[in-house]
Amino acid sequence: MDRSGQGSDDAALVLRAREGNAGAFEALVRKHYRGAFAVARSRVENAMDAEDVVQESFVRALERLDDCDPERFAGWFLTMVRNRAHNARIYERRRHGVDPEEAGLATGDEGDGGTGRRARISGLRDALEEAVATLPPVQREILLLHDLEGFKHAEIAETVGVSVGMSRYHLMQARRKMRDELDRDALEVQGHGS
Amino acid sequence: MAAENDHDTHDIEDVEPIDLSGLDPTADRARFDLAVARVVEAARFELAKRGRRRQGFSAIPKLWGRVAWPAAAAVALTSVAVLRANAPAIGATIDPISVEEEMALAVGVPEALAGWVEATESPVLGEILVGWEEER
Repeated sequence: MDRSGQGSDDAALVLRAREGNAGAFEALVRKHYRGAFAVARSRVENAMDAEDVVQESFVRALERLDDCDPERFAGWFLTMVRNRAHNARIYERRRHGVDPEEAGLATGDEGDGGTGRRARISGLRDALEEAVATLPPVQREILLLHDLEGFKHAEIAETVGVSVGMSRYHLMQARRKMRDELDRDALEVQGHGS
Repeated sequence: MAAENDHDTHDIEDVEPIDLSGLDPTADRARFDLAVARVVEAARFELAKRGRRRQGFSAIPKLWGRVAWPAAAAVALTSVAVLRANAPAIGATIDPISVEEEMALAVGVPEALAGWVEATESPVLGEILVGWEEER
């Protein structure tokens, strides 16, 4: 993924969006949706909540667009997404009285009524969702930003607030855990299928 | 923002990348378009507000024009009224003596001739020449 020149592209779009240009705003949304989703998904429990966080973050970003350095929109916006996702998680925790992640309920889907783990792993998406949910938030975020959105480690380091070395380390750990999790799921499915 | 020291191809050779395309929210085009449309719709009010604000800025010269033209017209009308009130009545005679005297002084008519001018009597040629010679 070629991300060179993103700052100047963003700057032009930000300036036009500031004037209320819907087309420019939509272009920003299309361009940064996946990155925002990656960040949000690393903090909240499921894809639907992540999409809600992304939507709210874009609207909030538009409201505060005058505060943003147009050349550094991406970092500014992803920080906003991260904070919003964090708040959403706190809200959920208060609502349910417990942090689903800490309680081991971060499964990617909610309220499946005990139909069994394999019932959820009916497709690649569910399997990935479940595997991603087992990762600590920072590894989740780095994995999604790197392998889904195509961020480089230097970009991740700046966005997430870790060193380039730690970004590499977390990515490696995340991939290992993901692979183990996916392999285990595959074995379980095979075992139940035979 | 890409860093030169970013060696993505070397740092994690022991763990291959995982295909996360299943989690890509943009993979399903129709669903992604819907999500984008939802965001833009949610931002409609703010976009309209910003659009109005921009129009507000661009309307300032127009607004100034709207104020300035009537003001200029009012000043012009007042000026005309004042000038009319203070101007001499039409047909009023201007004192010919004073004018001719001033003209005589302005063009440097000899002092002796100025008396003729002032008296509004036409001197004969001889009198003019005498006056001229006296001045010399």
